[in-house]
Amino acid sequence: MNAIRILCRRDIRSWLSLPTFYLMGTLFLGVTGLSFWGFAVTMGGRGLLTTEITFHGMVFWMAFLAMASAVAVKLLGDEQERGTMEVLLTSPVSEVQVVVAKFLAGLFLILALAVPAVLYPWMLKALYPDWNGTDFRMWLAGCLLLGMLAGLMTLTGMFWSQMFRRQTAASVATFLTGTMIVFRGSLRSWIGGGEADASTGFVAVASHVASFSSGFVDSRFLVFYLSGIAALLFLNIRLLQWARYRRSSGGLNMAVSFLLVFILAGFVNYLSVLHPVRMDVSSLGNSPLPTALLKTLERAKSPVRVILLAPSGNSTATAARRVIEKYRFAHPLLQIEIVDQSTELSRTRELVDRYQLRESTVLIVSCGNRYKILPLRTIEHPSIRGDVLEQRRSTQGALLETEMILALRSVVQEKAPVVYSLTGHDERSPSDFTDYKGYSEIPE
Amino acid sequence: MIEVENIKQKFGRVTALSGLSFQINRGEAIALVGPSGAGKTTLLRVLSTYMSPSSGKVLIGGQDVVSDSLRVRRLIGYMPEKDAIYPEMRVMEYLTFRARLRGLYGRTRVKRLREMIGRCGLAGLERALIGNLSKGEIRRVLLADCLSGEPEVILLDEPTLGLDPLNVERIHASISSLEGNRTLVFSTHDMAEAELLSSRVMILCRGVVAAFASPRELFQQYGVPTLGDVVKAVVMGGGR
Repeated sequence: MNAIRILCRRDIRSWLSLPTFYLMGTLFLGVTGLSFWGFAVTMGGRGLLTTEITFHGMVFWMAFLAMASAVAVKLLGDEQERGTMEVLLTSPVSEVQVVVAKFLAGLFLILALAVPAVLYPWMLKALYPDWNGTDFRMWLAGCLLLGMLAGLMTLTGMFWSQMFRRQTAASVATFLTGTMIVFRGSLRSWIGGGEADASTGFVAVASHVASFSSGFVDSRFLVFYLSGIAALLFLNIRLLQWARYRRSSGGLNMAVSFLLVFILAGFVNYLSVLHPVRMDVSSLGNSPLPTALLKTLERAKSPVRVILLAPSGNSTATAARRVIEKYRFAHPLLQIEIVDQSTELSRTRELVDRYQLRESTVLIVSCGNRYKILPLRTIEHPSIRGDVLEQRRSTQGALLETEMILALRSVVQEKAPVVYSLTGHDERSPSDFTDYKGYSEIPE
Repeated sequence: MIEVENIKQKFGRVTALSGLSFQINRGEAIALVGPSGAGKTTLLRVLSTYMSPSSGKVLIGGQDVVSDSLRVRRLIGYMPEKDAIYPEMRVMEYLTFRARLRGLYGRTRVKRLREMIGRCGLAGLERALIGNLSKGEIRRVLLADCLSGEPEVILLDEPTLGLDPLNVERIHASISSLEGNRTLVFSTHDMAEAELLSSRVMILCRGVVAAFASPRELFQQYGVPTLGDVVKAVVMGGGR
């Protein structure tokens, strides 16, 4: 433990003495700050939650991945390039201690660079006190995701730096790996449309971002990151040992151990998918899924799709997104897709053609050939104050949820319900509006 | 102190060490000499636990360098051939970091480091940035680090390579001033250095021990007056 602390401290102090570190920090803050300002102030993001402005932006994640890749590959890469690895590995420290220390140092450095950027919402709140879209708990959940992703990126960078001699190649490989993980769903959509893959969708970081930054912490996502970090830690340690003891742990031995670790990680993830636990950590409170809906879904025989089609920076879409995020991964057959009209043009066109859409902001609920279109009413207006907007958003969310559950039931059921009524037995008349006589009293 | 039994080291098709076996007693100073590519650095890397041999067994202080590598690393001090050091650190900062890794703390560490700084001629350079030091000064920092843990076995890979005579003299003085019954193994291309510092000389040629004896015995054996001539005779004649 002591050796880990000493090694970790040395790495951090070394980085803090480098001008490169501050240059990277300035660049990252500049790019993410510009993107945040663009969304929040100039592009009408006033209807959005600040966690969405912070974490949902592509620029933020691109800058984060680039910065994390640059830091991560230098952790072991520098030691190898300078030859200090030879001195380090002949000191009384084990490979486990070296890898863990480097991991912790990398995590600290990446978060030290990223944390100022996630503080933007609080700056915004300080500048605009009436801005009511800043939820501390949602922000904290977003930061938790950022921390776990930073851990994953650190270890990915360390892995590639052991595979490639050149740090540039390792950086590119790390950045590409990160991009593939983070933008997995979006890339498919940009390239040429396509629907969300619900069977493996839970590993797509874009959906994790949507969930965490909306305040929903899902045990499956936590297990995914923690098992990934554990597996990559093991991989890095074994690679470092392999470089040293080629004889005692040959290539086949290592390949088998890697395979076993990945099988174990896969099994743990499988168990977590079977027994999910979800928490709404936002200050809006815990909203468990209605059991009636789950029962409805149990009866579904083909996948049930809920597609939100809305332009970005729309307050109505924010409310809808928060509602449907709850249902993501609620059931293997339930597939949630959020389509941003402004960026996913081909997918938008496909949906407009298929469902003959006439409204710009809609929620589509479909199962097999049956579908329902729920138009979303706009609730934002420049004259509406932040707190009022938040109340309206909450109310609209509740209404939308009810409508969506009804739509889901309606598309899932195999047969249309038949209402039988008796006649000729002195029953009330539906057209009788007098007090205590007709059916008309029921709505009251 | 060091027992090597039929070790082989292969890098793909290249055989760097082919079946070396020897023993080194406690307190001995061994010079590894031989032409470039003879296997000197590989042997030192195996002894330092940085590399595990492809086959064979190496024991240092009774501990196996593969299965008990962490224990072996507590017994040794190793100085590599390359100036492998962190240029952004200061001399004292680096030595403190390395001493802490070796488990030296408090007054013991301060006292030990002061002693090493004096012994390796680094006085006045404690706060100097390593990146600004000359090659000779960097070698002395590495030597100070290697000796600071008071290791039982000292492994030096070409400690005076590329240094000016003054720096060579300083490093020789530092090595000669070692107290206690320490075992020293160093590689060199400087025959005078080998003769001056070693009690026995191991001549390596193409991955095998071509000769292993004291300088005087080697002179008698090969009938030549200098160690350089002995090495030449061994390399040309393929050993005896």
